[in-house]
Amino acid sequence: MRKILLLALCLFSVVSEAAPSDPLKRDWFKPAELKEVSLYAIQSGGRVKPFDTFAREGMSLLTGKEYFQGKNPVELVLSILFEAQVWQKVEFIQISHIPLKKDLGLDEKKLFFTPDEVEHSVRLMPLFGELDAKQRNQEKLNPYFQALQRLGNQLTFLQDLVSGRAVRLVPPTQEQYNKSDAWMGLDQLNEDMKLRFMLVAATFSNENPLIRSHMDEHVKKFHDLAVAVNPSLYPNRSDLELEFFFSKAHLFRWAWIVALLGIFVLSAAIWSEDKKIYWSGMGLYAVSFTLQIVGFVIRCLIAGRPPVSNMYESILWVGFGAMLFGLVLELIYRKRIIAIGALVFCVLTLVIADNISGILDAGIHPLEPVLRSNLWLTIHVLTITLGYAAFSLSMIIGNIGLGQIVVLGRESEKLRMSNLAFFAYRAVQVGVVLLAAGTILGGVWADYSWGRFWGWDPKETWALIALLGYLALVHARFRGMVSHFGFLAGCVTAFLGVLMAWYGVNFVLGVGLHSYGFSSGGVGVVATYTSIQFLFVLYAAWLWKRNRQQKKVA
Amino acid sequence: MFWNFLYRVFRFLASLEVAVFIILSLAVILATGTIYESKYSAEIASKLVYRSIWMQMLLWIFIVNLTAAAFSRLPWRKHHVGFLITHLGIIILLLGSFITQRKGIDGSMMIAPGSSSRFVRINENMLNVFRAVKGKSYDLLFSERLDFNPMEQLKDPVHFTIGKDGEKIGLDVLSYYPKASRTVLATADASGKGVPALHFTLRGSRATISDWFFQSDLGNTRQYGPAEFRFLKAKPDPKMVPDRPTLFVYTGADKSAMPSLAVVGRGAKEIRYLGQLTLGKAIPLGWMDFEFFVDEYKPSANPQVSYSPLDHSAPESYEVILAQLDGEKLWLELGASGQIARGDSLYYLQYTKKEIDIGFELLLKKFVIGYYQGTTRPQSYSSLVQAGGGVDTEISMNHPLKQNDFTIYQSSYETDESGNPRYSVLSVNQDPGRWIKYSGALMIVLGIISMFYFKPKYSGDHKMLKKEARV
Repeated sequence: MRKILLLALCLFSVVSEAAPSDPLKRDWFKPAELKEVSLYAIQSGGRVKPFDTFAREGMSLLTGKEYFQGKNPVELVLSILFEAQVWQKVEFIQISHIPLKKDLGLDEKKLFFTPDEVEHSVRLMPLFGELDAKQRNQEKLNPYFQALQRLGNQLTFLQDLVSGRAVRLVPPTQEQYNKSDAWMGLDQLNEDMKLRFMLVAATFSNENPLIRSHMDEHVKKFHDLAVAVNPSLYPNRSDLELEFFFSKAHLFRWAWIVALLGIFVLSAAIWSEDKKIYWSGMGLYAVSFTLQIVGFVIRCLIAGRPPVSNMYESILWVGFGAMLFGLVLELIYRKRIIAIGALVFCVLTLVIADNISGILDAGIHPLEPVLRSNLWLTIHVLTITLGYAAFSLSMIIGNIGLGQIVVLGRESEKLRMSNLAFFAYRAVQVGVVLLAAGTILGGVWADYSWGRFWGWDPKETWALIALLGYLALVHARFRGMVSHFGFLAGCVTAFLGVLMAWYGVNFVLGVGLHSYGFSSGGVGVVATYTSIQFLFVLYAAWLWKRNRQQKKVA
Repeated sequence: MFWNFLYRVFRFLASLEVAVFIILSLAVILATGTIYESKYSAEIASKLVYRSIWMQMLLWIFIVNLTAAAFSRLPWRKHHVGFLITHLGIIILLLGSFITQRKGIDGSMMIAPGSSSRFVRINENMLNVFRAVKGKSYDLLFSERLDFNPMEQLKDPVHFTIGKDGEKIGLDVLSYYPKASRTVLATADASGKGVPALHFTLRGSRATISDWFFQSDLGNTRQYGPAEFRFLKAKPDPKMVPDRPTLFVYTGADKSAMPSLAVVGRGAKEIRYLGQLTLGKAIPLGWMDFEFFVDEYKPSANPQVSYSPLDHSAPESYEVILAQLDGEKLWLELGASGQIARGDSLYYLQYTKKEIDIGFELLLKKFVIGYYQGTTRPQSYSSLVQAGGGVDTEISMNHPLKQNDFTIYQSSYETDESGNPRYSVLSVNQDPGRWIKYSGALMIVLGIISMFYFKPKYSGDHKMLKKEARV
């Protein structure tokens, strides 16, 4: 015991003298040296997860990305925990809302700020007071206050991290567990454990790489002590390893890279009769598809529920659904263009999901009480989102049809409008069945869960509006009121209804119409997309009409 | 000629053009509804759009169109099956929802743990009038739903004639403000039967409040932000220190003398007595930079309430009507009541949400919230109830209770300031249209599937493309 204490003191004295001024500039651990820490179980956000996940979520919150300046999040979080003083002066707290930066007296041009700068802003406390009042009155928050709320979460997390409260690393004893299932944080450790932990801290901050390389051993020893407190509450190591693997592997990122390759190869296959090119393109399609399946399976295993509880998951799922229907239609008709369309859409969704972690939260979080019914969640939400997926495919095929008019000025031999319209129609059929069934199932769930089959909730109303849009289109097609071109243009336009039901209800109607100008959560991007699609449809229609008139004259 | 005309009307009603027009109109109207909901409230959207007469009419035209379309295909063939099932399904679904809307009950109950209730609150505003003659017990004289447009004030007063056995007493609703601010003024009562009232201002850099404050028999208490204001009849007991910031105003034995002031700060262990108030003299309270001063004091006054309409949401806004009974006017807030004396009779007017007796007692024995491990984020919540003296049953999300013709669902809960559950909110529902809607819904889905996938008409394109399929 005394030996440990002595060792810890020695190591610490070295640290405090030679603490590096900028922790981002020194030599970093090799990933292999951090394996034990990464796999260490932490209770946070309502579940027990590997320290790696905890660190990724923490860094995402603080800096907007997991790998801040390319550094391993586990090491970053440890460094903030052990060397808090130094981090007070490091610019890493991300604030992007410009009016908020102005009000706090911060440099508008910068994106990252030091905790010192932020905490010393005079306006901070009064603003938090206002936010608090709004939250107590349950008012909808505009983008300004949403940004402020995020800043509040960042500062609270930082405080809890530095004080050790957030790092809940020891399970409660059985006796404690009967009162509360909260794990003990660093601030609640007993003397023995505190000493053990100081060893970890000291080795981490040591300048000598040889000493540092032993950190994992100290973590392992501490881990054994922690497990012994209550082994029954400890998660399986294999579960932790699975989640660690999932975060590291970035399966969905690889899926879009492979899909992108697939687009090029299949495009070549349109103009080439070589079967090998076609099949290698389809091979890439299959690989991307499989990567996504594996990704979903692991995510389900970790979360214990279907992967459709937030925008991030639903975006992934809709992209996947488009690939599923694309694959079926491609295998029937072998026209290449269906597979390409599906891949294009899937790459779009995956790239979006992969790159805007500020808006889309990739974390696995607990569900609202009402959603905690796996059966209903699965059948209702999966049906609806698969419906969206089918409509997405029709939208992409529609855009390809309109695109060739815009680019070539006419329909090409390879991509006849009649064929494209037929494929789009097939996708719309699937979508109509799924969206109708899914919306009705939603009604049945709502009726079963709180006694209301239909409550005119904006989400369900917009799902119905989107469905009505497609029904109008299908009926118009049946009557011959629209041409092949008109049907494709309709698929593009009707998808805007889906976008509203899917994204708009949560991000536009949800924040209310009181938010002026400032884009938040991608409203600006989606609005731009919507207007571009409108202009695109109008321009293509104008070209198409002019073409036909010229043909008549000729 | 006539038959020819009728046939053309029928063909028109059955046409796909009309169908497409109706579908698109529905889409536009519903989209407007969601914008109303986002801008105002779900209630306003429901009243002005979803349950409006226009929407009902459009849906009936829709039903006519669907029926006509079905009959225009006579004689029906095998490939019409999907089409017929789907369209009949829509008609049945709509009829089912009309039945639900007319005959169904959809209300809520708020029960505190340990207590019971047999009344369901329905979201309909009722005006009730009770009467007591010469000290006899109250009689219900009148009860009517007031279904006003929540977007605007009442244009024309509404008149009712009430009374029993040929009596004719006039009852009018003169005004209706969906949102109104309340102003309370103190009018001096020369008879001395009033209560002491003072007009104060609380001024600080964070907020400024100015209001009348009355001393009532019950020891009036008001809440301003985190602080509590109390107007007492005697000096507060130094041993009874409240655990929250509190401001005491108290009168002595002589009510005509100015009252005195005492405060308790946040987390303070004792009451600080600040002495007698002087008109217009500001006294620092020691709560940040807040100062308190009184600019008017009336030893005997009566509160006189008046309302003025608001055109925007405000934290303290009231839904009010101005009722007039036999010439006497009375403001009524939603959920409140008031009295009017006329000769021997005492009238009791009540403006309230409708309540329905469900015919059995629902006792909430326990309310439990389960949290996600180590957090304050609820994972589930459930009510342990006893319905009509029967066995204990647990109601939770996705697990309702069926009792007599009612289904009782766990809806939400309300907590007190320290986060403990204060009420369990249950929704109570009776829906005679349920199975009609369900069968309509099932028909729609089966119909669409059979229409899309078994219709010979489209197989032409499909076969041609299938033949063309090349690798």
